[in-house]
Amino acid sequence: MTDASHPRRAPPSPWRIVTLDEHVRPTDSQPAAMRRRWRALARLLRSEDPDQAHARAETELRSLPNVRLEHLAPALDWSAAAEALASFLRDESARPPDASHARVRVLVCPPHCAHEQILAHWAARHGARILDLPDEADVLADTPRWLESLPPPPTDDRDARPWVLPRLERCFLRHAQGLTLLRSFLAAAFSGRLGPGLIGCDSWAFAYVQRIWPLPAGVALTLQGFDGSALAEHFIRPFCSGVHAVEFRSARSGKPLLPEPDSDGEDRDAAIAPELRQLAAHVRGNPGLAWHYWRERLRSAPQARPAQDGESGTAPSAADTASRGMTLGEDVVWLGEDIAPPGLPADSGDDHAFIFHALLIHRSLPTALLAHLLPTPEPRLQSLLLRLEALGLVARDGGGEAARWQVPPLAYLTVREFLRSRSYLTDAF
Amino acid sequence: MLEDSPKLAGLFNSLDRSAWIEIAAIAAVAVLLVRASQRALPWIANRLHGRARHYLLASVPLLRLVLIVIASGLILPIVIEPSLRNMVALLGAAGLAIGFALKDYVSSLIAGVVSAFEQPYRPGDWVELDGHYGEVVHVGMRTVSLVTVDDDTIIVPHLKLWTSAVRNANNGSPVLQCAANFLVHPQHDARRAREVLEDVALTSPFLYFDAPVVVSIAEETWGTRYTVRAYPVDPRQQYRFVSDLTVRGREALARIGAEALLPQVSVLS
Repeated sequence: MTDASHPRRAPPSPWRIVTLDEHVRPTDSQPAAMRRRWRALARLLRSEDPDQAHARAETELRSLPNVRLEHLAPALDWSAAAEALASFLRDESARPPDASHARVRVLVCPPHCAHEQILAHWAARHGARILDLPDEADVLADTPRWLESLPPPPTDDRDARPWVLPRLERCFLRHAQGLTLLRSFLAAAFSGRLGPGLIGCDSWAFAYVQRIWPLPAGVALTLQGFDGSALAEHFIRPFCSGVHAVEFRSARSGKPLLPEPDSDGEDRDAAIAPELRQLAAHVRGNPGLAWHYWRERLRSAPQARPAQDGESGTAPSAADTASRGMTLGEDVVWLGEDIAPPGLPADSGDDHAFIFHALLIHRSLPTALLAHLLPTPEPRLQSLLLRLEALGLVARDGGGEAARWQVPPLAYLTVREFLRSRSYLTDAF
Repeated sequence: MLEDSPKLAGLFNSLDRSAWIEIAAIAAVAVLLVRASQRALPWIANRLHGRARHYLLASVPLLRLVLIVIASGLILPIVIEPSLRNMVALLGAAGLAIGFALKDYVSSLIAGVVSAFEQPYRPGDWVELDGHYGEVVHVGMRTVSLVTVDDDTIIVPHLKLWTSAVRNANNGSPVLQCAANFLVHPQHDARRAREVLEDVALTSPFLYFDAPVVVSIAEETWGTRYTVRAYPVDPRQQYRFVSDLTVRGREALARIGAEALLPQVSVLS
């Protein structure tokens, strides 16, 4: 309920930086999870699902054209996350110093959350020096050539220019010779010899680094997990008003994904479509991953046409749209059913697990380096990589010899579960 | 003896047709359930990993024992009047027969029951029994089956439980410790050698991180022995894990100038 004396609150920005302890992974509500299971059972028994009465059949819907997809689901703007990081650090520096103050912080992000971009935005705004990453020869070498290139110790604490190391995962290799540089760098950074700085680190690399050189407590920061309402604010809200307003609806239930404009606060949170809550829980609150799933699931009806400028000055309410039915060609975008994850090969074994684990810990690796790190012979490794690529479980970044293998976003959750079920070290997200 | 026969026969109820059918039905259902559990649970367990696999495998013999006890409990009152006098007489007669003819067989059966409760070995455990080391794949009523690393199946009667030591490498846990030994010429930097060997373990793709990595050093008459103790993520990887540690450990030691040394045969023996 809103009125003049009680103006409607602007939704808080979904981008928040928190310490690792404060990170909350969204979960789907128990009744919703039960309903989902019941629906799956009902489908299995071929009984009628009441929610499906008004839904658009998935087969009627088409993927969005690329141009429209770029408009409706543009790449995530990581500068907002950088702003949240700046705000966190500003608030922290405004507080009286205590034991939790750290001159060096680590921003830990789960895969596909672009921590290097967040830090690049932050560095650009704060005039920070971005450290060059060591190459693989530097990491494996015994000589500290890369360490010597680090900024000299600050002479005056007040004028110390902060430094940024965007990708800690590039500073080590899971090899007996590949850890020395990492330990030396962390010792220098956390002893304060390098002055204030920020380190970006992938969550899988962080889990491994914690076993090699446990970091002081409280230095690690992360992006707060996106729940259903954060996804709604980020993916839907910017497109639901104005001349070219778009309505997002669930293909399963036919209902709008965004709550009614007059709902507020807790009501609005409760009114978030279950599809968004489920998406947030499914991607474990990872906004980068959610964006990939969101793009893949957006659909349009073949007869849909863009809303005429003169037809509507404001977004049609969900109730209006629903009352007019859904066949009049209003600008409705549908959220399709869950995407089937890529399947693991039937003979998945240790070698597959080693490849996935190495790729996640290092984020990406070329074939030659992968062969150097793993006990699998290189010809077999090449064959396995090609098979996994055909299944969509690994993907190449770049071409030729320099191509680096990585786990693509839509395969990540499958791979993560595969490694978790086999007791491999996993990240905390 | 002969005059006691009518008394012994008197212990048993007279079994009519319906009683026989009932006994046959109970026995058939019990056999069916035992067979089904012995096939289905390992089949499911072998598609799982870690704790789930281990605990499911370990439940097979216990479940079988429970089914047999229930079936016996249902059949016994049909066959005899379960009074104290009858039970003593029946067990006395059975004990006499067993003592003479089936001593070892029944001893193995009893040891099988004991093993289901005490669990000195469970399916999924890696044990050394009667000089054989392998993974327990089946714990039957009378015997336990191991599969060795050479893919030989060894069948050992539970009877060995009474007299032999059982070495269980993981003892019901889904992880087991492995040790890789390195024999090095004594003239080297031992501190550095210990560090690189620890890194060798920490960088092995087989490593299970929730268990410690320990490098121990012992001076022998012929040189220095390093032992890296660590845990693989799956006990079935133990030989590949030790091989990986050995290959990379030797490389790492050579890099820091610690010369590999083979002990003299006389010392080994």
